[in-house]
Order: sequence, then structure tokens, then C-alpha cells
Amino acid sequence: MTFCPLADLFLGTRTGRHPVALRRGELRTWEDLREGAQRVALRVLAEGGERWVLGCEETWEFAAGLLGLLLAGRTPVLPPNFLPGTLERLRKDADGLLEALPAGPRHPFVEPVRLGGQLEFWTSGTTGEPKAVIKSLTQLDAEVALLQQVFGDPAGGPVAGTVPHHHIYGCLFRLLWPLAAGRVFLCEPCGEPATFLQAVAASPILISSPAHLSRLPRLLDFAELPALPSMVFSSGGPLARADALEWRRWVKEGVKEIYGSTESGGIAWRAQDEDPASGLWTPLPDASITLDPDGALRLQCFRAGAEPLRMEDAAEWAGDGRFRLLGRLDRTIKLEEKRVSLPEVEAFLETHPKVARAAVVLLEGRRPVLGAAVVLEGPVQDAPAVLGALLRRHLAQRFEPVALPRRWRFVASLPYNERGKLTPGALRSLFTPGPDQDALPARLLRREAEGAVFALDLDPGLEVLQGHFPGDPLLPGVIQVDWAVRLGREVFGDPGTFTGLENLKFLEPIRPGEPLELTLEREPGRIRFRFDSGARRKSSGTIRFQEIP
Amino acid sequence: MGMTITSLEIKKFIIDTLGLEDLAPEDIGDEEPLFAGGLGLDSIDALELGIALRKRYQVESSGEDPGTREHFRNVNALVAFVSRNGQPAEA
Repeated sequence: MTFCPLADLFLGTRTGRHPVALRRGELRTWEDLREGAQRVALRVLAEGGERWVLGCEETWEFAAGLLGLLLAGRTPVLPPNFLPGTLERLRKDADGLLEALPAGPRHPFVEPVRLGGQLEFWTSGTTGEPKAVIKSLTQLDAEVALLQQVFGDPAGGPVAGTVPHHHIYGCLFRLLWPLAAGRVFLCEPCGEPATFLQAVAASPILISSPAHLSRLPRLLDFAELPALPSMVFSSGGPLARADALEWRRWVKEGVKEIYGSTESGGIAWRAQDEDPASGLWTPLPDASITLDPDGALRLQCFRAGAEPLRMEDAAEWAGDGRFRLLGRLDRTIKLEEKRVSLPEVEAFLETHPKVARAAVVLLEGRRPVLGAAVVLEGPVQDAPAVLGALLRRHLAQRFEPVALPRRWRFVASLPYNERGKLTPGALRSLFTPGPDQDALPARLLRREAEGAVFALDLDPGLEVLQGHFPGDPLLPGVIQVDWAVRLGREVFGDPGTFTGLENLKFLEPIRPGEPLELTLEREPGRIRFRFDSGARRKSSGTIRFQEIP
Repeated sequence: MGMTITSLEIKKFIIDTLGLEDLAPEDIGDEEPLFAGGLGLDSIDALELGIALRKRYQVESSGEDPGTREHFRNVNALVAFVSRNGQPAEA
């Protein structure tokens, strides 16, 4: 196969009949792609402008658009996603938006042109705002040549991908590398079982990510597949060891994982097997790596720019030139390989008129999701599920579904600690009831400066109601006090050390099924509480605290 | 093949599978789109649902059936799909 740097694609060395892509089952040739690119170039040249947003969601059109813009000497701006809000925002600061290939007559290939210029990728910044990452075509060509050098020219079918083409990994592996290597790329992404089955029949080189690699073997019977991928790549986040070993049963060389980011490009790679040392990362030949005093990996590499680049990943050397990754150091996290800036989600949540303050935290679990703790502006009128759905819709204007918080807590104040810090642990505890801190069946009805009213819904099956008097479930007095203390802490923050109770009156038993309200009033050093059912007072009392000086 | 399943069971199944702990079955409408808009699930959730359907009801949601996406459109579509192709869990 003839390798041709991207810059030289239009110099006429590649024959027009060379196959470049499979689109909806049809083979497309270099002549087809060149023709599409020329049409884009002519349209863009007619309209002028330097930076063009490449809004083509379909891979073939995206490839033609990308080459066409470069052919016209323009800068393609690759959006972080294709949501209307995102494209609109990028379009405002750009000179044009290309959403589809322009129609028109076929033009003959005019003249050889050497490509140059740059591409603009967009990604979630670490501080809150999405940011542009500029890559020159020379840098991308260096990366493509490096991939060819390190991973060779693998035998096998076309290149198929489960990852999108507009992020740097998909762009390089699904489009640019195949284009330079003269390898056919599949236009349709193959992340779903049916599309995967179609793609895999051609024994492809599979460009994927942990999100799909961890799930596909559980969705399909791999022993029954018509063919297996000839080579598998993964990037975007570390692949769990168990998943890597599962894939090794089916693909001899295992999964080749690439570590890197939009800013850095590829930094290192590994292919995990039974040997624990295979979890270590081998730097790519042109990547020079040092560690900052706090353990952060620092990269010096032409492909990442002239200045050294600090990665917000902690790492340690293994002693043989390889390194181990130890986790993120900042508040930009990865969810199913999508980079999500927590400050950005929080800032956008706070643009909603109902939101006074918001804090977002990563919740681990079967599938890691975001949880949002929100202090509302003004009184609470809607149920939490309604509010959560409302705020999710607000965020969906700007963020992909994976970045939308799945779990919501509406609180009176965010759980700052005594030093004024909002720790992930404190936020997480809002979502994870401990053994003695099951979620209370309470809903905040009204909140005033020094008072709050909760509605309580006592399910007859509630554990605390059992065992007091068999067959006659009721809410014990100690539990009433406990709930008042806990809800008091939730709305007023930490009032200090509990020192005692005063004026306790248990007037009537509280039984499940009857409407119940808890009113809390804060005074210096104490919280008064009362439980009412309609007009009937059930109990009341005062909880004393030693205030924190 | 075939079994009886109610929309309440499917809603509980969705909530359990995806860990949507803040939602109750009655928060999900029978015709409400599960993806894009509506419940706002994403493509990874679709894979998770596929895996769980396979495990729990022996439903192959993969095949080369172009209707796969259609089955996940809303609760009613999923009820019809599982009723047609599923087998009760052996337990």
C-alpha cells in the first residue's frame, strides 16, 4: 500500500480509482472524495472567510468538507458535538458553517495543490469554558506517520470505528491515518450491535473506546461472529483489565490502547495481557516526558506544540522507561470517554433562573454518572423529579446526554466544610445514604431565612416504624428528634455540637399514612421543631447546640 | 417464544438497569421517548438495556434487524418487543 502524507494527497500521486471509503455498502474512490472536496473548496472560495465550522455529522461529507476547506486554504473548525446550540455558538465567532456537501456539476481535477494550514478542534477546557485546540496539518501528518511507524501497516479489512470522527482520536484513526495509508474507511459508525455485526464481517481494523469495548462482548456472542477484527485500538480512557483480557480471547494481539488528549495527541500506548506489567504505558518515540513535583505528567513533543504541556494526570515511573497512570488531578473528568468539565456544567446550571448555586460531582457505580446538588432560587414549588427533568433539558442545549447529571439533590445550602471548601466527598455523601443515614422520606416545602417546613411521607413498610408496638407501627420519639436534627443540619448547615434537648412534648402518636409536616425554626444555639398532622400538633421540642466559635 | 409483560415491569426494569434511582415508574410515560428529549437516555444506555434484556429475557436485540432502535423508542414499544421475543427468566 502506498503511504502518502496528508499534505501531498492533492499532488496527483494517488490514482482516482483508488478505493477510499465504504459508504452505505458502496465503495467510494479517491476521485469521488477529491471531487467532493473540490466542490466544497469552490463554494468556500466564493464566500470568503477564514474559519469554517464543519457541521457535517455524516463521515463521508465530513471527510470531503475537511479536505475541501484545507484545499481552499481555510481552517476547518471541528465542533465538540453537533447539537444545534453548539453549532450556533461556534458559528457566531466563525466565518461560515458547512452543514452538507454543496450540490453541483462535477468538476475535472484542476491542478496539483500542496495542503497546509491548520485544524481547530474544540474540547472541554479545565476551567469552565470550552476551548479551541489548534493543530497544524504538519503536526497531524507527524502523528499519522508515527502511527504508521509504531503500529505498522496492519493487514486486514477496512477501518471501522465506534467513536465519532470529529474528536481528535476518531479524526486521526478513522479518517486521516486511513487516508494517508491508502486504506478504506467505513463511513457508518459501528457502536451498536447490528452495525457492529455488519462492520465486523469485513474483519476490520476497529477504532473503539472502553465504552463500547466493555459492552459489545456482553451484547453479542463472539464465538458466533462471522469474522473478528484484525486489530483493535482504544482511546479516550483506560480500558479495564478484565475487558482487555476478554478481547484478547478474540483478537490475538489484544487491544492497543493510546493515552493522550486533544492538546497532546498520542503520548503513550500499551496492550494489556495476563502480565501485570502490561498495564504500564510505553511513551511514543517522539514524546519526551517528565513528572512535575505533584506527580503530573509533563510532555514535550512537537505534535503538542512548542511549549511543554502539563497533563492533569498523575503518573509515576516504573523504572524501565514505562510509566503508570494514577488518575486525574483536576475537575475535568471523563464520562464514557467524553471529557466533561465540572465547572462548565456548574456555570451553565447557574445560568438557569431557578438555580442559585450548583455543584456537580462524579458518582461511581455500575455506570459512573454525574450528580448535581442545587440550591434553588426562591421557594420550592415543584417535585424533585420535575425540577431535575427541567434542569436536564436546560443543560441539554449545551451538553451531550452523557454529561447530563442523572441524580439530583435540592438542598438549602451546599455542604461546605469548616474551611469553606466544597469537597467531592461531602457532595457525594448527599447521594449516598450511609448505613445509619438512609434517605429520609422528607420533602422541603418552604424555606425561609431562619425556618423550613418539610412534608413527610411515612410508608407503612418503613423500617423505623416497626418493632415498637407489634402490629401498631408508629414513629418513635427518638426517631422524630433524630430526623429533626438531621434535616436541621441539611437546611441550616452544621449548627455545632449537640448538647441537649428541652421542652420535649410527644402529644399524639405519629402513624403511617397520615399527612405529616415538620417545621424547623433556628435561633441562636438552638433549633425548635414541631410535627403536625393537619391542625393537630403531634410533638414539639428544642434541640440545643454548642455553636462553633 | 413470547411472554406477558406489563409496562410497569418494563419501567422498573429500565430504572433498575440504568440505576435511575431518582425516578419512580410513574415518572416515565408509556409513550414518552426514552432517548433524545423525553427521558434523555443516550447510546450507552441503549447498550446497557440491550445487555440486560439479553440476560433477563433472552431477547437478542442485536440481529441485523434494522428495527432495533425502534424497540427502544418508548415503553410501549419495548413492552411489545419483549412480549413478542422474550422468555421469562428461569429462576
